[in-house]
Amino acid sequence: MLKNYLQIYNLSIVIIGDFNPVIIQPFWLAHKKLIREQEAQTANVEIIHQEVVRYSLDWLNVEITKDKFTLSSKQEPFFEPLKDLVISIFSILSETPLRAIGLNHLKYFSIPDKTRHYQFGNVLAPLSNFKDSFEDPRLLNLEIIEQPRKDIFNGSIRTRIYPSDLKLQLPFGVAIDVNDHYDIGSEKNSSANEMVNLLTNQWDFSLKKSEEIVENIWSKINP
Amino acid sequence: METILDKSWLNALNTNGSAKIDNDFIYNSLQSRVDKQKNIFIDNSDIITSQEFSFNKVSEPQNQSFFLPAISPPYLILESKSYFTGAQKWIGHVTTINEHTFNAQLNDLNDPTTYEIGEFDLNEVPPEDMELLSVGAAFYWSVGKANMNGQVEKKSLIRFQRMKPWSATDYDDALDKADTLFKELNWD
Repeated sequence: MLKNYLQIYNLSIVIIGDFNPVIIQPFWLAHKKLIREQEAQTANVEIIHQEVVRYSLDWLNVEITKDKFTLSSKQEPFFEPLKDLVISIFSILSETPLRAIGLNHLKYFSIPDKTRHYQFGNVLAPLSNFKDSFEDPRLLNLEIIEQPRKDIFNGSIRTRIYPSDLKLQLPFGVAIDVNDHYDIGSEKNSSANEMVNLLTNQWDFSLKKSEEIVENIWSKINP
Repeated sequence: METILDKSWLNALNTNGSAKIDNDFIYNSLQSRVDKQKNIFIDNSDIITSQEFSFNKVSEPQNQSFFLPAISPPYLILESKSYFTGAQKWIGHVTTINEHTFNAQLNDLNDPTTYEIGEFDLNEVPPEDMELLSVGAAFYWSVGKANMNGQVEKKSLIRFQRMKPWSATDYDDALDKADTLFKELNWD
């Protein structure tokens, strides 16, 4: 299973809408008891301005602009707290107009050997097709999209595969980025409530879908 | 008077040996302060440059205005070297609290088919989460290996769930949903 070679898993929840970034500061989160007070005190604040807010806790990165809200973590034990935090923020700021939400699963794998690393590209996009024009063709980037979605939601599911540029445990790194995207805002005055319900109900699906995509790819490369 | 007494005034006192502070001296001193303030140029070039932001440099006092930071390069989500992957995760609900321990029903988040019962020491609960510890409270328990700046560590983490408290409207909505579900049940 490819997940045995998983090195880094970064989960981002990205929401598009109209935000007032300066509200969502560490001490506001602590005041609402959504994070610990000590976490707020030790937050690494990079900028707090009416146009952009950016800070991090030990387990969380926060970046909010006027039209984009991003919370991310690469510590798996905190993925559920990350979801709880987003749900709680928009349960409190329930009048915030929102247009879309994306759950982005970015996974970095260390492939055990050079042969299977090469096969990753060769199976997904047969490199023999390019042998007439290139001596040694390699796959650099592959992006697959399903739009519209096949469930009841508006949006898309997109996967991007590319060689990892991070220094991982082994040199044969591959990154797989699964973007589970939902358009929201059909209920005109309660898009925040719609997003909260969607995130609550689709959370498990999104985690499983990202795992399923990864394992299906691996099964083709390593049958 | 104390608040505006600065070094130049003290120097005047010391060099003259006696307090010779007349109106001219006060005027000149204040005027020099005003001039000094006028000549302070705003130069933000070293503010948060290490955080990948850059501000436009303002060299003339009359041009002092705030420029939005240009965010470049794009936000690097992996700039921190600490990560925790492949954790075994459970969500627990506290069932009983004893003098030194508490018991909980644990549901596996990776494979939510059945539940287990676990006993935890109270000293495993982070101090700031103690106020959340009560019968029925939910918490996340994770076991796995974390890579903290290159050092691999075995970790067991307990974090109590923090959610927005329910309002009266939330309770009403939940009751309405329960009523609706109950009415839709078909009993054979």
